[in-house]
Amino acid sequence: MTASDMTAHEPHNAAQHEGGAEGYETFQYNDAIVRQFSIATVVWGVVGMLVGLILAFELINQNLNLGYSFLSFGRLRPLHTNAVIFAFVGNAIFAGSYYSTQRLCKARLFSDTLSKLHFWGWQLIIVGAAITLPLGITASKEYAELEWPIDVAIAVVWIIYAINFFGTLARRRERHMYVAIWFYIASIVTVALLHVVNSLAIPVSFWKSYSVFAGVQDALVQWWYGHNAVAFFLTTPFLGLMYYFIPKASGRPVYSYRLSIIHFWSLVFLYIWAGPHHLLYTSLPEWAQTLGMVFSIMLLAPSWGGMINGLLTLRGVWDKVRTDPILKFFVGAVTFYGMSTFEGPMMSIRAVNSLSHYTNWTIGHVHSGALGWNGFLTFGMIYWLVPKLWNTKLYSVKMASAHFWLGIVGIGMYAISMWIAGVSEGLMWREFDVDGRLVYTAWTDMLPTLMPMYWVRGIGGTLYFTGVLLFAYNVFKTIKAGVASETTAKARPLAPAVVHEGDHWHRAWEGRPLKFTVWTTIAVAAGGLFEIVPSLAIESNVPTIASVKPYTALELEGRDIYVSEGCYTCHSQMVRPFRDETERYGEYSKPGEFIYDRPFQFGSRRIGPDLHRVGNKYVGAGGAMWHYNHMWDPQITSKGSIMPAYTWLFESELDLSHTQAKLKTFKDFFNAPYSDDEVNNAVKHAQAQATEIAEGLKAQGAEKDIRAKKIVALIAYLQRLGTDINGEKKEVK
Amino acid sequence: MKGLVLAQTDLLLFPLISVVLFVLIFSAAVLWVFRGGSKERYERDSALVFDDGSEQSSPHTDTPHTHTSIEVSHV
Repeated sequence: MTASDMTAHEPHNAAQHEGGAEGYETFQYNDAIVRQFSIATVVWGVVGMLVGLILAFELINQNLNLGYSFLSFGRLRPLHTNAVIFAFVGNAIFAGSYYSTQRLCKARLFSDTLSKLHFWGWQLIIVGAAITLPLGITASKEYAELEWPIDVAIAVVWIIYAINFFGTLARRRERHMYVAIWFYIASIVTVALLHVVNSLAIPVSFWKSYSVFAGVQDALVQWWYGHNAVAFFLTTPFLGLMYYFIPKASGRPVYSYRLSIIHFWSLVFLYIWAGPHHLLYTSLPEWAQTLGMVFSIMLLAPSWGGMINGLLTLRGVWDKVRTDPILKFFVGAVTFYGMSTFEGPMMSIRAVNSLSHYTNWTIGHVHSGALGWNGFLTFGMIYWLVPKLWNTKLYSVKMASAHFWLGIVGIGMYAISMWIAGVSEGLMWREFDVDGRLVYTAWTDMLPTLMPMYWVRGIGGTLYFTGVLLFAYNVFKTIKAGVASETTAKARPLAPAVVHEGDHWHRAWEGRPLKFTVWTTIAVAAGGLFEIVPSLAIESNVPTIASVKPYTALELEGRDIYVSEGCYTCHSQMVRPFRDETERYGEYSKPGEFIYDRPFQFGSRRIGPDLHRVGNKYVGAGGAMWHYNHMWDPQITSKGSIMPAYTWLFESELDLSHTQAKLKTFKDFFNAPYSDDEVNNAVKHAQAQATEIAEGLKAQGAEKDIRAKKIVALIAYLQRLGTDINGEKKEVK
Repeated sequence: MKGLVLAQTDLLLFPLISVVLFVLIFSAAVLWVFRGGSKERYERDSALVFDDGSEQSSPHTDTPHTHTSIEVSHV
């Protein structure tokens, strides 16, 4: 399709040809859509970070949820991560990529209609997330928590974005695609691939589905997705923005265009392999863990290549950094990118990971990347864009500078406190006394050490959020003082490709979007294929264990409640093969134990203890009573705990209307060995088990009759956890 | 068949082949990118970012790529 073919269908895009030998076309950029995405970035940034701040203080005082289920840590945490990643950062990506792509292509966006559908569709998805996640409707895969109807909507809106973006490339008036566009291409292709594969699920109702992958394989696919959501949503599009906006703001071209080519290809090829570093020392096959670790360490080179390229772009204009808050934000962003991409590979080294994993260190690492790299680059970009889009000056440069310093101090307090907390708790978990016994036997023994760090994190977060409020106010006042403007531009039509000497392979791809996209897809798909396909195809990766049986109807319902309440945000289900872990929790976890776990619940953080073997700890009616008391008020059983009370589970009715469909799905689609009786009479069996547990609790002195309440299912599940291999350690292939 | 092939293959061979391939491809790419005589082209490409005409401050707008002029209208 030629540019003139497309303009025939889009009156807004119609270019006016001017006469004369020059042959210029006059056209307007679609800045309205950039304005909309810019405003959405600011609004969702405030919302997402406010939720994060509430969560930080809920870890200091667990009663801050005021007893409401929808304000509890487990339900709000996914809302925080989704709001910051997909709402704040997502809208920033769309604003920046639409602004820069039009100018780099010298063409208006492909379609105004698609642009509007993209904007409103994405905002609708965010609103959908903001409603469903606090209601406990979640798939529980980190950064992919949204249930299948919203997943479908994401795929549709992403395709709209892709058509709009590639359509703009097709109608461009500039032959060469600038490096920023390469990063956008990689992001669009890879996010689509990751999202579709990781979201594959079988629905059992409108708001409930089960992953097509189970246990260890589900974990591998999830962290292939999760790590690359960081790579291709939080990194590559932002590198594209960096390569465009830093030169624009500084007036200096990128330091080395040659380095950017090496940077691009090494980064997109290496990043995709690194996912398994999230699963070191778990039940994942060792070859996959090693691949993840090695590629993570190699990733340091291209990451720092990009950082150096970004910082050295400012050569000759460092004096401007002193006075220009926009450049301050850009320098801060690239510096945090460098620090995070140094810390990440270090944390992927097995020995370091054995200490850092599941601790607050990871939280500090993630936030120095998100608040520093993504946050600062977004702030700088919006401060630069808004005055141009509204044809005015920034309302207050001083306020923007104050925002920068509040942000820097805030991130510093956050990252340092979490690093200290992480190293401290990692060391406390593994500390033995001279007699060879664990020093910290109770989890609550360690909390007093962490609490001061939680306070520092809370204060740091408050400072950062105060800066964000200044940012929102500054942007609001700037917009109010300005007038929305459209940019009219002139350019010659795309000249036919002329082959110069040396214009072969890469040089040629740089002017051919389709070829470039195909090679990028091959580069990013390679890692996924080599890691995921063998783990799915070779059965010996997950040796089955004869004694491991599927969950009973009630246990399955209990598991779904565990997922719904976001218990995985605080508790792991993965006993690693370390002496301190086997002494504290019991036998280390085996891959074959998770074959009925859809989704897997390994978790990524231990705010509380691991629960994989908790079924061996609290057994029978007495054990059920412990859970009953603990869920009603954790202080009864664990003085000093920071876990909130889950009183609503004692009030909410247990919904068994989908139980039979759930078991049938497991039997029909996942080959779970349920009998016809177990499926057809699932509700009856669930009620019988619930009655048995409730009667046992009554005998133990429980005041409430919970046989028809959600809590009974959760207790059934917790008592089952990790008990399948009792008395049988032999793995059977 | 798959099991037979895997059983009879020295699995250590695959990572070794991969390393050699990666290093060769990477070296070739670096040599090509830093080849002589390409500096001017890359400088022109890197200046594309200034080529929408809206930035008066840039000293890099006067390049062979500059065919665009920009004007702003209120809406």
